[in-house]
Amino acid sequence: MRKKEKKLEPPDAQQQVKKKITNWLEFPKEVILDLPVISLIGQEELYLENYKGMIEYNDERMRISTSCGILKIEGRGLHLKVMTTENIVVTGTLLRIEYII
Amino acid sequence: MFLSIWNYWRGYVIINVWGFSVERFMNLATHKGIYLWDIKKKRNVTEMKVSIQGFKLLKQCARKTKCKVTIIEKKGWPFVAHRYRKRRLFALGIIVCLCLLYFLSSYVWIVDIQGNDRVSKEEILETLDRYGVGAGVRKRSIRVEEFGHYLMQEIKEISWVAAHIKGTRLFIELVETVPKPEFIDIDTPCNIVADKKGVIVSIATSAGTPIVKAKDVVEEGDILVSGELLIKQEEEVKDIQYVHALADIKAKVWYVFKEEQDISYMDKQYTDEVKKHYGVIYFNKQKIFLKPSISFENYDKMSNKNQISFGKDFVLPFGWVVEEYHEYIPQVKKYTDTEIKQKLQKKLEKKIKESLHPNAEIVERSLEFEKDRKAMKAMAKITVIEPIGKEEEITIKERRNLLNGTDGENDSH
Repeated sequence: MRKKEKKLEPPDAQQQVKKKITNWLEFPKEVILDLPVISLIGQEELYLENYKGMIEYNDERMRISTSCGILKIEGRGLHLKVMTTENIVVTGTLLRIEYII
Repeated sequence: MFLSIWNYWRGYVIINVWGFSVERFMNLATHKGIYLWDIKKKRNVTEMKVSIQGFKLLKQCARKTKCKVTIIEKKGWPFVAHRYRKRRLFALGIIVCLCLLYFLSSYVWIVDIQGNDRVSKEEILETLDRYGVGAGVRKRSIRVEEFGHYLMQEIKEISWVAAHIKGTRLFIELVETVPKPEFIDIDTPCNIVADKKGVIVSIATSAGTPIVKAKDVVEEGDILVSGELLIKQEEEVKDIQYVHALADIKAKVWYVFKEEQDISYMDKQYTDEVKKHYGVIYFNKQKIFLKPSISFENYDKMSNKNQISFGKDFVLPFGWVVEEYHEYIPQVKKYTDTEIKQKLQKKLEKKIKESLHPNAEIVERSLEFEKDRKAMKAMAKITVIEPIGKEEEITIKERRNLLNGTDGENDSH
């Protein structure tokens, strides 16, 4: 337990250092910082890379946990086209995309 | 598109999942590296697609997350193959069929010849056969350039050959030589001789001595322009030179064309009786095996050949033949006078066009009909102005020696 707590403490500081280095060296952030990448095609397709897990799933609302919080997607007739370890493809009519921290 | 073909090839299962937390089930599955796609939430179940390998691993996840999984549909090639696994012969048949198709398509089965007019198709095919090219020969063994040369060597009327193979068809295009007219060399002395009977209308000589003049009547074989040039000095022949006579001579010539036509003709009154024979074609051979006997006295035979082919050019050496025998009752009918006259006129027109010189000018024509019991005869008398005369060489023997005894060796120069 103690070990875990010790490890939990530094990430914030560590993250800050990493952020600075990547900014300075112009590295791709999503690789170094393990951040999600979201691409949208119009209103009908969302491509999410680098996610952690699915929390809620139905055809009107989806909640997906990522490294920087929970991503909430709302829309009509949503469905998961592809789900692999790295990425998720959501299709349907997208109405709202929101981070819940 | 490509993804769905790939998925079909690998095979996949459509499943329904339900239970306490389908999301957890999905997370677990993806973490294990199972590829899930087309996930749709229905009322209380979630439908998704998963590969066959993935489905085997899915049971564990279901147990862990206390979800229930049922298969709705199995899709893809592996399931089809599984269903037909015991039909080995069927699969073998398909493979044999494909092999046979490949094997047969490596041969030439049809030879198309284009551009022959004077040379018959049979002659060309025979010559090709002697060289070893024809229907039923491997495509690879055909050297297009070489047999072209052979063809030109063997058949002198062919001046150019191009061949190419498309599918199982061998196309041969050829050009025939233009027949060479027989001309006498311009340096060789000659006379111009009448080649038919006629009356000279005009004569314009550019070399030689004109013998005839306008309005002269000439018979066939008469010399019109002589190649002899008499060089005179004070009415005395000094020298004789022989030249190649050249002249533009036109003459009025008469022709008579005759044509005959029977008054009665046979009309075929087809009854609706048709008998059919069926047969097969294989490797350029024909075999009729379904032969109902024919009781007709008079019939027309129509042969219909069908060859199996893929597209236009991949013709296989198999097919079928349908021979139709149409019965008819012969009936003797008679032409009316106007009909028969029209027919005769057409025939005559055609005959005249074929036999006249292309530069001939028709000056006068008359048409006479004569009818007897059986047939109608037509006679066309035509007066034409057309070029006359043909060149005829003056041989050394014919040349006159001069009185003073000089030889004819210096004539032609």
